[in-house]
Amino acid sequence: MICESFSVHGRMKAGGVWTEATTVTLGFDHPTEIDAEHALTLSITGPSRLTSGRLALELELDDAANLFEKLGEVLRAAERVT
Amino acid sequence: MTLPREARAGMIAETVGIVGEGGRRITAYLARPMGPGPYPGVLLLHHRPGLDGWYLQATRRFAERGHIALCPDLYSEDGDGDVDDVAALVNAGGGVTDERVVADARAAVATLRAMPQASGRIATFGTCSGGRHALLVGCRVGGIDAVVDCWGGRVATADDEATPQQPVAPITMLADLEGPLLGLFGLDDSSPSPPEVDALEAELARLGKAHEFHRYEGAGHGFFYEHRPNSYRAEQARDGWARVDDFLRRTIG
Repeated sequence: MICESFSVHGRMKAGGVWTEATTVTLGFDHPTEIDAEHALTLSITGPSRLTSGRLALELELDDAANLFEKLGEVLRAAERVT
Repeated sequence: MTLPREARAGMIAETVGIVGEGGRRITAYLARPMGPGPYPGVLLLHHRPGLDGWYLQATRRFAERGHIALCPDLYSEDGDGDVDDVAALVNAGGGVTDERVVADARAAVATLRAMPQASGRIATFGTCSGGRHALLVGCRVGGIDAVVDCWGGRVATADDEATPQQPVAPITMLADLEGPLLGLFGLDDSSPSPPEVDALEAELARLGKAHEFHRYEGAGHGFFYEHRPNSYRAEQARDGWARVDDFLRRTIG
């Protein structure tokens, strides 16, 4: 199991409700939903880890790599305009 | 498919509260035949995704076959919420500790033994991390008559792979295993890998511990999980479940 958590300051929509996003947890582990033995898992939670809802994402590694690359492109583009 | 008469008499399946060490309240899923017994007990140790739908079904499956089956929710203290959300929270923190697993299992065993329908014989069963926990409990909780370990990983880990939650590898505890062990493994699995399974088997043999290992061609991790088509292997799962049923018949009645 690979797992890393770090703090963020943002907003997320979980369960149809916008709420504070304070923690991102990234992992590589047995997933819950996606039909793969292992997957990249991403969870975003709020200050009250369960009652504030959880945004969850599971991706196979090639999709995760693509997400990482696109995220980098968007960040670089954003830096050029700010 | 032949099932014992108890299967037709019906079963009771419900969530119950059991009292853990220090008065902790643990929830558990209990399924048992409706008859007077006596029935042997199966203590299920769930996998990392939590006490999910598969484990509810597995618990009922053991009851259908004439066992009192009890599956404690090892994440009971970690909050109320959807099973996958609580599991994500627990696993983000490194997973449930071995100390908690053993303590909750001890409470569950006491609950099983106290039931008026109980024969007193108990086996542990688990898949994935639950397989590892089934073996851990078999070594650390006295009076476990048999253990079923389905592809439990991190059993034969090296010292430098220890974590705060799993400080000691179960392979070092095997001298305390009291009952026979049934191990089911996929040859395409990476955790446990075939060399890890071989190491576990060699240590059991060295200690003179009764064990039966079955390694399945064409199967990887989770080959019993019919809800995961990429992992599920129907033929291997059918054979595996038949071996589980036969093993429990021979060891706990």
